[in-house]
Amino acid sequence: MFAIFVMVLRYLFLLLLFLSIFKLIKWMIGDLQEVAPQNLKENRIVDYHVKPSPHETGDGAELVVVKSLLSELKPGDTFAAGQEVLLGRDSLCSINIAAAFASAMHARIYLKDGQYWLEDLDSTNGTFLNEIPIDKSIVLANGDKIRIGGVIFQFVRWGHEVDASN
Amino acid sequence: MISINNSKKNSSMQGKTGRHLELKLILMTGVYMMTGMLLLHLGAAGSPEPRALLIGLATVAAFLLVSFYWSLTGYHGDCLLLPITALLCSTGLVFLFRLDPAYAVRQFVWLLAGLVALVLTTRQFVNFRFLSDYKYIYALVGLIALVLPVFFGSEQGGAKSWLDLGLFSLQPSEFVKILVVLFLASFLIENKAVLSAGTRNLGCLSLPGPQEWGPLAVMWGISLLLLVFQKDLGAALIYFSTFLTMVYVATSRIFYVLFGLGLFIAGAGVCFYLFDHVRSRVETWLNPWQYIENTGYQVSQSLFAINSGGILGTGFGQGYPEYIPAVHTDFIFSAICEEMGLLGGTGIIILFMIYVFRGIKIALKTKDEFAALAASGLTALLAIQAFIIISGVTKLLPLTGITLPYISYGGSSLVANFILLGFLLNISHEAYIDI
Repeated sequence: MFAIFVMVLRYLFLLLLFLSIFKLIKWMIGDLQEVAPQNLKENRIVDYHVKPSPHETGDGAELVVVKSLLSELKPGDTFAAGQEVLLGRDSLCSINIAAAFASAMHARIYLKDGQYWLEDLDSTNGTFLNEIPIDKSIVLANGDKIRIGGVIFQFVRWGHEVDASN
Repeated sequence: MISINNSKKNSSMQGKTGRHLELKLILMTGVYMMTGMLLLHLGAAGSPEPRALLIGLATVAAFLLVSFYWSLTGYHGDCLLLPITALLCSTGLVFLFRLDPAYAVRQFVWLLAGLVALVLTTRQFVNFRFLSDYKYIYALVGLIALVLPVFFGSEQGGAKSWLDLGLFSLQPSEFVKILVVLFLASFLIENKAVLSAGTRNLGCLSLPGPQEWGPLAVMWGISLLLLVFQKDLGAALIYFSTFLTMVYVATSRIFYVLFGLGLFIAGAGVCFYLFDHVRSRVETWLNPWQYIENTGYQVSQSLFAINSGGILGTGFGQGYPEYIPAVHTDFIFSAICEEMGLLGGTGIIILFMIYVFRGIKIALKTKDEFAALAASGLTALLAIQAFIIISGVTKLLPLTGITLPYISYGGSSLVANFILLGFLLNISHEAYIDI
């Protein structure tokens, strides 16, 4: 009786190893099918209406308009980057680009770990960093040119060692 | 930033749900390990082992505690890596108990030390990015750590790479591996553009100038020479393959890989004629049966053991793995194959494959170049280690004595691999909390 019990335990030991592996693989496949990115976007837009409060701005970075087809934005206009800047046609955006080439929520620039990142918010016409369309968040360096349709901004970050030519 | 909370609910693998899943998977691992420990307790393998159940429970509790701590602190690291590691570690612990309880008890203590190291890594180095600023300090520390055993080291198993610290001995080369990966990641990122484009032309190839590849070559030459000097061939092979993998990931130029392989073949040829221990390794690999009385004894015993296991194995505790020398370290895979058969061996390989898959996924998911390169380097490091030793004991490649990560007995290796896991988790933590 004891011998049978031990034998059963022996095979159970092997079986349990594989059960654990199957469980792992099951969850891994679930992870692959995850469709979170789409859902994420919808939720996000709702919360963007919160504009950065003035005291949060001024980390030593700003956006300067270099070229513009619009009368509202003139070359030389400067915007502080702060914690987060939203660019788009919607009037709620902190940098309002009132033209057809811009999507309502076109792009955003945000501060993370001491670096500024540019992200395209699935815009129709795309966001260009130094004339290259971006498809994911990308770190901004001093002197980078951001183009949205007919408006070009230059990212300026003073007193920072990162340079666009690097 | 209410949006962060919202987005977390959508993804099943992250945040609270992920940690919950991790807890469940670790509990499952615990059931598996306790079955093994119960067998040991009942004396299915030699004399009954009263400590087995207690140590098994303590191990499960330790893993659960780590997971619980993470869910308490809101850590978002990958939630499959810890259960995979727990499965590998518990298999190792159960088999060490079966082979030699004295080693198992020591391994248990090292395992706890490893888990502490893991928690400390995920606490102290969550913002690992600052690490990329100190690359020359790593290069220096790594070199010192490699040189020390040459003067103060003790020789074990033909390799002079241990530092005797009285209570226990330490193998610095295990820790230097991680430093090398971090150094390479930050160095390659800095010089990526030049390395992949090249600044001067040599025939049809454009090559970077010596100031870009110089430091790499110097560091490489020195560490390889040291390793040859210390006769630690396995470690040299790991370093070199990891290096090639990372250079390829950073530059995507196949030229560097081919050049590196050429260098490696040339180096291996030179070693073959210069060093007796290298020559005997290769000859044993080509035909172990001819040397079965001396140098081929280990590999042929390993092959006998794997063969006698068959598909389902002889059953836990019913094989004769004691006949293989160094079965508790390098050859533990043969013991697993003998007693759990082809299925058990395949299970271990699958676990390593899942580990590597998660590692590559972390590298792809992160948006930062340094993090991506570090993650792929760490993953490659682990994969190459597992591949080299498994193919060594199955006679697919010449044998080089290294440990099977997380399974073999070996304190330095276990703690170093837990630190490696910590860095991978930190990188995934950052990728997951990203916006």
